[in-house]
Amino acid sequence: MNNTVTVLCSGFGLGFYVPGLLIARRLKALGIKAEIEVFETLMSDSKKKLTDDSRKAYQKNFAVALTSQKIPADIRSSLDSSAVEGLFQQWRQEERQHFIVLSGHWVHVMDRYRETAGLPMYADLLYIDADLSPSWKNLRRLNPGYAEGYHEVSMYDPEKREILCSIDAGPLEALPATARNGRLVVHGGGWGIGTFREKFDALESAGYELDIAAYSTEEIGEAIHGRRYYMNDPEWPTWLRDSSGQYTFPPFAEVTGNQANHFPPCRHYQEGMYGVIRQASAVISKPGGGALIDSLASGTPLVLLDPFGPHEKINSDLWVELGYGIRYGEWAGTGFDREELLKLSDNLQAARGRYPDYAASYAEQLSAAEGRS
Amino acid sequence: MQQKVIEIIAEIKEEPGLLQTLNGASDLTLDAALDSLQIINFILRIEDEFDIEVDFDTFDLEHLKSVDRFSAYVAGLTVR
Repeated sequence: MNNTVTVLCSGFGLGFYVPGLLIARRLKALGIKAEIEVFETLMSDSKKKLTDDSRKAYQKNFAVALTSQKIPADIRSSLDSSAVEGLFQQWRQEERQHFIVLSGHWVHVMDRYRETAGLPMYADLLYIDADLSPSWKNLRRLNPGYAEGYHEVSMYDPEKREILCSIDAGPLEALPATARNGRLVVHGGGWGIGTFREKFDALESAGYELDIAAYSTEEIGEAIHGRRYYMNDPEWPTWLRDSSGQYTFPPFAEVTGNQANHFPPCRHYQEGMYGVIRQASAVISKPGGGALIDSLASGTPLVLLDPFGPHEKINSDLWVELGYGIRYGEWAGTGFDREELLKLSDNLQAARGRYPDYAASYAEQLSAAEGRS
Repeated sequence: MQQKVIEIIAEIKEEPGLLQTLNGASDLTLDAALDSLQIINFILRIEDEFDIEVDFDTFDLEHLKSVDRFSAYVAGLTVR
């Protein structure tokens, strides 16, 4: 029996990739062997290029990004059957049985593996948003009973306004509000989408200094006092392993618009944007699943911009109801009051340790199952 | 409406020749060869043109199987 846990991520958004890396790292720290796979490695080069093109189009125009969620899609047509078979061969050879699935796209693959693996398979379907995101909705449309035989795990229960589990982002403790730098992080998630770029002037006029996520050098203008830009390497694809064969966090650096930028590898999550977020007074972004995980793990309040689809709307409502976030318009209505952020920060500090760590619970259950076998 | 839909496809594809080759039976992904990103831009243009809103719950990939089926779907939205 092979107890390696295979964490199945997707590069469609960093929110379906980074949490997988965090879970795998936490499992390893708990003594469990964990491997990552990224869905895009099973797609043909032309489909991967289309994904890249889509990302650029979504960055340029939020309406295009939003419209993409209205159109049902069948991801199976993007699969490269030889790549799928190659992966199955490896898994069968290694007798892989334990999986954590972060994207609905993977379930099509897992269904086929389940038929041919020749041994029992245990897979968690982990929902990192408070409602089904597009990959799960598309899957449900094609197969309403898709979850049969799998174990569904929701991180949130929006009806009960509860967080059911959290994802550990590393060993650093959340900083209290008094130890933070007073700056605001403004970003558009992994793909740089949403309305965040429209907010810089108003926030700076209110006296805030900004740490801004850039997604291309072209969007970095003249130097402005108090403003810093950061960027993940724009050439880095989620589906590329590093020279040691590992998947990594995006190479990351503080950047300027007037010189060539160099992006060192990001070995630990806090060496990336998360390290900037955990020192800031708040994050201004769309309410993606990744933004929620960062907010909870670092104890940083979220100022919520327009959601990217109905599932992010539910994320947003949940964060407001829990007292961990405030809608941008509402905060603007207070004159961008710092006290509002402090209240949210206090709520997050008070919640430290309240929510069970998903990876730790998983590891416990796996160990218990091993003991029984 | 069929003609307008074909015009928008030709515009998105930047292929005026499609005005002659496409007809009501043409498949939007096979005959017109719209890729996923072009379909998004096509839907955006259609929403603007006909003042409608496409949504995930009513739209089906079957609607892309022909210009006529797509036009019927749009017509259904415009009369609501």
